[in-house]
Amino acid sequence: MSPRARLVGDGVENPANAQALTEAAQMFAVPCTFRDSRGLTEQLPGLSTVDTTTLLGGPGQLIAVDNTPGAESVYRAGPPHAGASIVVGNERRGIRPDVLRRATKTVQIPMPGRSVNTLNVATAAAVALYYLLDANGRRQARAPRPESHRPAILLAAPRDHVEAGSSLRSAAAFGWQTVTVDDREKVWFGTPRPVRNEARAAARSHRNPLRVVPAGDAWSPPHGSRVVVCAPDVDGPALHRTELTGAGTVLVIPDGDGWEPPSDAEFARVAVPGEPGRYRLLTGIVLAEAARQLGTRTSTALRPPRRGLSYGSMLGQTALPDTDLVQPWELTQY
Amino acid sequence: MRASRRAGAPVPVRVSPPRRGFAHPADPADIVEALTFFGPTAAYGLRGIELRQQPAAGAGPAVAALRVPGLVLLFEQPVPPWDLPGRLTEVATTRLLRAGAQVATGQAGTKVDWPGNTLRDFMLFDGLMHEIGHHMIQHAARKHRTRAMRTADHERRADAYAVRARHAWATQR
Repeated sequence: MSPRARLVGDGVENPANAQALTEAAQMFAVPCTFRDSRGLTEQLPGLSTVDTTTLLGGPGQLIAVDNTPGAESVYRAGPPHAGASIVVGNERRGIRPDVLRRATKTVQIPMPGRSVNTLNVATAAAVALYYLLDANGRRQARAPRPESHRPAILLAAPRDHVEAGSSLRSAAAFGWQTVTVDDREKVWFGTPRPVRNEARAAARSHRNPLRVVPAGDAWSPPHGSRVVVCAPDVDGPALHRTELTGAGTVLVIPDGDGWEPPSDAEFARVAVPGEPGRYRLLTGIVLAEAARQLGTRTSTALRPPRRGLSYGSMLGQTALPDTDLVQPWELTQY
Repeated sequence: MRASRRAGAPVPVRVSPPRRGFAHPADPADIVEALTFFGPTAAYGLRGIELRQQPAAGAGPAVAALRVPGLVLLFEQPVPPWDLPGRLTEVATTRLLRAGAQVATGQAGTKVDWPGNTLRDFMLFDGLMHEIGHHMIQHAARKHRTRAMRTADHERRADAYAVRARHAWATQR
């Protein structure tokens, strides 16, 4: 029996990202394979690989996750057929053109962030797998004035500096301007220079305008606020069926079990069929879901897009009968 | 300094994969070859060229567009032969015939066939070079937000530029 999908890393070059991608696939209990052209298998010998012919000529659907122009939002994409290949691309160059040409559909993760508009490749894969495979029965997105409903974020006790940095990058990409970090493991503030450099690089600090606020030793939620703890192993409704937005809402994303939630906290379960993945994958899914529930700004959506001066060239037609143009392949599929 | 850098820098060509049943007749290599042939005078001030899918609505099949300043869009085209509903205008038919297409108008619609490389050349000259003609008029007039001349004159000059470019390509290449 074929798996419900498989994750394919196309030209991924960083071994750490390859391992994170494998974990992302394990979260959703799907196999993970790589089209390797960057010597990845020399550094990680146990890696499963796929060649170009098998990838492009295989029978299943090919779904590319890439923010190319015209790509469909992953929030609106329907579930893939069984055995589909979900492809994510190289860290800098994205998916290669031969896959994009062959892809049945291309989906993108909408990111309202202004300076940072890309996710870590493993985070992007986890978010795409979550929405394509598992997030059924989602809450409606809020339409009007999303910014007034944006919840505050608390990253609670991250245990790894790169994971914390990558999570801050995701927060900026999904439109947050301020994030609070409970840094009891000393991974972000006051760290040695090498650790600091790695963490800042993972957060894309050179262009990430995010303001990172320390939570202090005894963090307590602001008076009257609603705290929602989002984690994979808590008792509560599924994340995508929980209200994550609203003024005064604080989303807490703890790393592991070491963080003690307040007594009146609500819980939202990041329901994944496999093993809970690393912190950046968890934060990516939670932030994506909160951003999805916020929706896009209606005032902008209703206004026609700002368009400057343009010239168009088309083949004018004199009489358009009330018919549709049908391609031969559409008839064969009819 | 800035102008010389911009004149010498390659123009980025971005590709959005075509839908099923459609193709980009002129691929990035063809576009780079044409821009190399016509040199910096054609590429100066261009910010990019994008091969895109057809826009959703329009009065006919879209060929190309220019977003001032300097972004040229070339749209995917159906794989030939084309079966178009209705009839093409006289101007459109003339353009197609000039580009080497075989146009047959019948009761059910218009059939357009493209022998050899004629469709690629149509996209390169009636698409790309035509829009570069628009771009050069705007760029020379230093106008980004307003039209440098009335639209009919703009179109006529851009078309003349495309015709000259096609002639130069045929004779000097």
